[in-house]
Amino acid sequence: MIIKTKNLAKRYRKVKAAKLFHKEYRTFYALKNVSLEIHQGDYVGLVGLNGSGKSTLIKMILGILQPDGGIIKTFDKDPLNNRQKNAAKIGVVFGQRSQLRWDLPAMDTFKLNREIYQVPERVFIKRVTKLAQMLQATEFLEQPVRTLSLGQRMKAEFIAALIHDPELLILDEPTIGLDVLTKNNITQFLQQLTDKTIIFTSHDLDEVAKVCSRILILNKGKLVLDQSIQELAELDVPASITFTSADKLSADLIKQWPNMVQLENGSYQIAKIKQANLKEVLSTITARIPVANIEVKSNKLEYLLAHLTRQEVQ
Amino acid sequence: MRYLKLLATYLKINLKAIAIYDLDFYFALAGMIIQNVLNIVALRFIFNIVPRIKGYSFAQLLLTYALATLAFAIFRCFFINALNISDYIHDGRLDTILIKPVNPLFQLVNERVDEDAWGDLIVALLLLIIVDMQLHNPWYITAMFIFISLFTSLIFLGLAVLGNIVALLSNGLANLVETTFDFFDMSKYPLAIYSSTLRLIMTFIFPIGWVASIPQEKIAVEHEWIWLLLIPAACVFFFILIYQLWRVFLQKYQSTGS
Amino acid sequence: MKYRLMLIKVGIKKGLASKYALIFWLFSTLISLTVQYFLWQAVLTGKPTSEFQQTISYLILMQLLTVLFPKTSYEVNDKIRSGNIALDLLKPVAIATQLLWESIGYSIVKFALIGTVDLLICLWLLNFKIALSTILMVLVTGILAYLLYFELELLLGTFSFYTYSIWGISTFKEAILLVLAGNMFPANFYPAVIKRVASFLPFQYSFGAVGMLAQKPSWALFVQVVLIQLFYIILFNVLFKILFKRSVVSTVIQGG
Ligand SMILES: Nc1ncnc2c1ncn2[C@@H]1O[C@H](COP(=O)(O)OP(=O)(O)OP(=O)(O)O)[C@@H](O)[C@H]1O
Ligand SMILES: [Mg+2]
Repeated sequence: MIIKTKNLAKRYRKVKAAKLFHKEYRTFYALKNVSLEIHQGDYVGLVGLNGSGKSTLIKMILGILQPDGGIIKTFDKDPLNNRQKNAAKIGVVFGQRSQLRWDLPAMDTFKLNREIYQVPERVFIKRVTKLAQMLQATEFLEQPVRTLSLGQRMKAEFIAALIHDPELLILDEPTIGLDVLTKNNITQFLQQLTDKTIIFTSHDLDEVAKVCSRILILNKGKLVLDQSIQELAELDVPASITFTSADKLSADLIKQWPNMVQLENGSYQIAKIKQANLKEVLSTITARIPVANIEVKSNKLEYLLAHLTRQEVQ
Repeated sequence: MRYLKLLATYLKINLKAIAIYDLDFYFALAGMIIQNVLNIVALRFIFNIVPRIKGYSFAQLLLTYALATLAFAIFRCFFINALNISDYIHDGRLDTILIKPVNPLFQLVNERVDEDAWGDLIVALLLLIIVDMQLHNPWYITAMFIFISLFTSLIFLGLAVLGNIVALLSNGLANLVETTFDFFDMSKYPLAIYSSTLRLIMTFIFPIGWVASIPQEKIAVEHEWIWLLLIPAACVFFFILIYQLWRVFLQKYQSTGS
Repeated sequence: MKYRLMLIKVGIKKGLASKYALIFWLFSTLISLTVQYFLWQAVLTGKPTSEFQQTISYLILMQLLTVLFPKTSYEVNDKIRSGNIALDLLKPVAIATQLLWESIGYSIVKFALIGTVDLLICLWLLNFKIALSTILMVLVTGILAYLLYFELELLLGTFSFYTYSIWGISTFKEAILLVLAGNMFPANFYPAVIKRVASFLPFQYSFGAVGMLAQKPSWALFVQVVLIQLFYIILFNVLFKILFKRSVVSTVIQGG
């Protein structure tokens, strides 16, 4: 077992009002009653909206934050008291934070990490070469980090986090601000990694779904869903279709889809289409209307969150 | 052993980072040397007024000055980043340090060095050697002083860490950290010039007296070799005390997340 | 005039916003004064106490001036490095005017906190015996010294059109002030040669001269100091204008 938590809770103090000499606080729970198990080899996607407590959970797993209730074990040990010991087996990429030395080439940070994690020289060279190849990062590793683009820097961060071949790889919103191409590149890279356990946090469910085999959803500090990706795919999440057309729509079509609306930019949108009906609607549109552009979207996370919280209320 | 190797790596990397700003580096180096020379000239002026201050001759006062500067230069060369701890906490970089399997304070302190402190280090070493020759102190006394300075620099490190902790607990008095520089100013003169209360404070509370004044008196004047052990022991003791405080502080950080 | 008042207000706001920095400065000033106090007490043992009192009050005054005086050269350097100087040049007011009045506002805040403490200590040391004429002399020469120092800083800042970094120059400036301006060390303890040299150079007139007047006020000295101060202020102002114009023109040409 890599990670096990039981009824894990964390509360923070938030400043309510700042007076001149003292501040008033109120406490609130950033995490509440979170119980989960993560096993060797799991690729876990941790999803939630901003402020849902993802980073808080990650910090407790890493042992840099103390729980206020419940139990947490990382590598079967209390992470707080075994922080440095566990750290040797964990690699972390924080999307908003850099571990690279700003004024130096990324390679120098790698070398420093080699000493910190005590990786033998030969292994180190082989590993860096291989990782750089997989991420297509070979050319810019000798360039000062401040001259790198965001995408290049993130790739370097990944290499820095994997120098010591950690068992557990933790990614806290690593793709924030990256373009589609780089994102795909990183997704492919993660798929190629073997015998690792990965925790990947993001607020984009689709992105996480590409890499992970299991999804955890946090909402306001509560774990509201823990399912495999297959189970999730089977859920009937309604989709919405948006299309544009040069021609006017005929009246009978408009009648056929009463919940169709025309958006401000002139395109049409049909929301809440059940999975079963999706094919039919699509073929009708393409057959009857000369569409210039068409897009199918299912906002799974929003739907799930709305759905799951309603369930709770009932 | 492992930490020594790490130290070497950090040093290599930090020096490389400095070399990137080469021109500025030499400017600063020259500037620091000029300032030191002028400080000494100013001290010399004082001795135009009186031949001795509380029994100290010009050369003896210079020795105190040299010892303090040496210890402070070592602090600035190797430990200067301790002044930035509160920045690390404000922008969350402390997290990236806590997730590494190496002592956090060690990492923090080694992440940056001060580029212009090397000028100070050179001046202080030269000055120490010259003054010792003037005072007819044998070579081994100079060697002892250098040995002791390695430890007394820990006092400044301790004060810097202390300043940071106080600054963080008091929410925003971040500039308090710079007081370390004022403490350095205090350490440049013999304890004998201060009032007895201050002397007590500087010996037992903020141990700046141990940086230069006590080593000079005990080693160069009285030749009591036991102080060769006592002084480093005092420095290490003070540092351990502060280190415990730092650990308490880390625990607080880990429970509140800020 | 309204515009200047506004600039002063901006400066005051800046000062109030950094209240923690001010408290630190006060703390730092007090430590530094403690060192000076005991050092000079030790140096001047056996001499009449009045000499010690005068020396210390002189040093406190110098300390106060050091804290109050603006760090304009760094501001100019910042503007040049970041390229923001272009924005300031577009404004219909001379850049020197903007900088001067803003720093006056900032200095007012500093004076309110640190100045009060410093002056109280000073008065206490002098047993609250001080002539009104002395206050007047110190005030006038102090203001002129402020202007003189400001011009000096402006000139230094302008150099960074050429050198880009200001560290070296400003270390050098501090070094000169250390010896020739008498802000760390009472000028009348100088050896005779340096005393003579210093009395011709401008640096002393932004620090030491003010202190000397506080120590030994005399109308003759006052008139002499004010005249020299005015002379240097005008000289520096002209120099700055010439240099600044040339620098702007040449950098524009270089910048293409
Ligand atoms: N040190 C702290 N002190 C007080 N409140 C905090 C602290 N850290 C986080 N919080 C609060 O706890 C809640 C959860 O924060 P957390 O950083 O875990 O969210 P997240 O899921 O990672 O969000 P995001 O997607 O924006 O990164 C937020 O409301 C945040 O404001
Ligand atoms: Mg987060």
